[in-house]
Order: sequence, then C-alpha cells, then structure tokens
Amino acid sequence: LSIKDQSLEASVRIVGLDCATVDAKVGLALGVLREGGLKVQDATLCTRERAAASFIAGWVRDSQHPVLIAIDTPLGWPKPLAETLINHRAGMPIETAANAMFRRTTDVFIQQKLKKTPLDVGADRITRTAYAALAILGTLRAELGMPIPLAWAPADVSRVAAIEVYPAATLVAHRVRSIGYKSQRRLRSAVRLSRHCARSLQLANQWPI
Amino acid sequence: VADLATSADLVDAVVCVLASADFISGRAMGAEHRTLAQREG
Repeated sequence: LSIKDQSLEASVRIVGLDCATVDAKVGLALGVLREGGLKVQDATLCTRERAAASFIAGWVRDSQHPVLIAIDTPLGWPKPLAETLINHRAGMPIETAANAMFRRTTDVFIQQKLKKTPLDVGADRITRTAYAALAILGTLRAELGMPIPLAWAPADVSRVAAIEVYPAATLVAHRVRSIGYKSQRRLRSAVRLSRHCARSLQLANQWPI
Repeated sequence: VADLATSADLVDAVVCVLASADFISGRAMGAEHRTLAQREG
C-alpha cells in the first residue's frame, strides 16, 4: 500500500499539521488527493482534551490509502551545532560561524531560491515547536504501532509517512502574498488568496472553503 | 470544514496540505544532499 504501486489516480490522504507548543494553537487539516484533485475534508484546532496525535491517529485508522503527514516545523537541527557543542566548554569562544551553527542547509537553500529566510531552529523559539512536533510524531508512532518514516520523494510515501513543509515558501511558489496574514485583519484576504492558489492548481471545483 | 478565517493556524494547516499535494505530484524540489537532509531535515 504505497504510492509506488499506485498512480496518481489513486487516493492519498493528507494531514496538514500547523504545529505549536500549546494544543489550542495547533491547527490540523485533512485533505484527500484523488485523480489530481485536492479536497479538504476537515480543519480543526486541537484542545488540551484532544491533542493532535489523537485526531491524526483516527484519520490514519480510517484510511485505506497511504497517508502523508505534512508538518510546518523543522524536524532536525544543523549538524554543525551538535558537532561544535559536544566539545565546547563554558566561557570558551566558538570558531564555527553562527549561521553554520544555527541554520540548516535546507534553510539556506530556501533563502537562496525563494528569498525567504526560515527561522533558525538552532537559535529561535521555533526550536520548541520543533521539539513539540517530534513529540507528536513519537506519540503517533506509539499509538499506531507504525514507524512513520520521513518521505524524501513521492515514491517514499508508504502506509504512513511524514514530510516537513514550509507554508511561507509554498505561498511564494504559488505567487500568493503571505506577509501579515497572521493578523486577524488580513486573515480573510489570506483565505481568498488560498482559494486563488487552489484554483491555480485546478483544485477549485473541489475546494470547500 | 471550520471557517478558516477564524484562525491563522487553520490557514497554515491547509497550506501544509497544499504543499503536500505539490510534493506528491512531483512539483517540489528534492533534497540535493540526501544524507545531510536525513540528519538535519
């Protein structure tokens, strides 16, 4: 049961996870990709009583098709950060350049390609969100009894797999202006822009928002 | 589906779904250094 032995005519269930350190700020969306069309079936915020892993586990159990979980936070840390700190002693200078320590190669790549600089997982508060995302993945693995590997190509998507995504880059790639949509004032325009984005992918006839 | 205009977190979650559709459809760029990506993400 994987994308390897199915064409894009087959269904893939997609879970979008907007991660946060507080349950009430964790957003979830459930989509189905079928015959090249995308339909969003559910979108919800989590609560202390019902956390993300509980929703996602239910959606996975209900699915007869491969499930891909897309998480909007870094899932790893820069290699030089670990290599440098393991031998560091308090008060001593560090010779490794700050950007090399705190910024991942993938973040540098995104900056070069899209002129968007992701938060530094080695230095910014996003590191706590990354920690929370890994905890959710760990809980899910335990609840489902499945490995949930990371997918690096479409063919890697098996029963359940996960990828890291960067929504700001997705919006840039689709030429949707994303600056400021975290504020309520601009949220509605963001939704309109998302619709426009969906149309550009020929998804509009199945886009329920 | 909840009213997305009530929460930026819901909008981001839907955009994550959109990003995944790009990935599955082969519209995303793959990692240039797979081994490093498997370590760092």
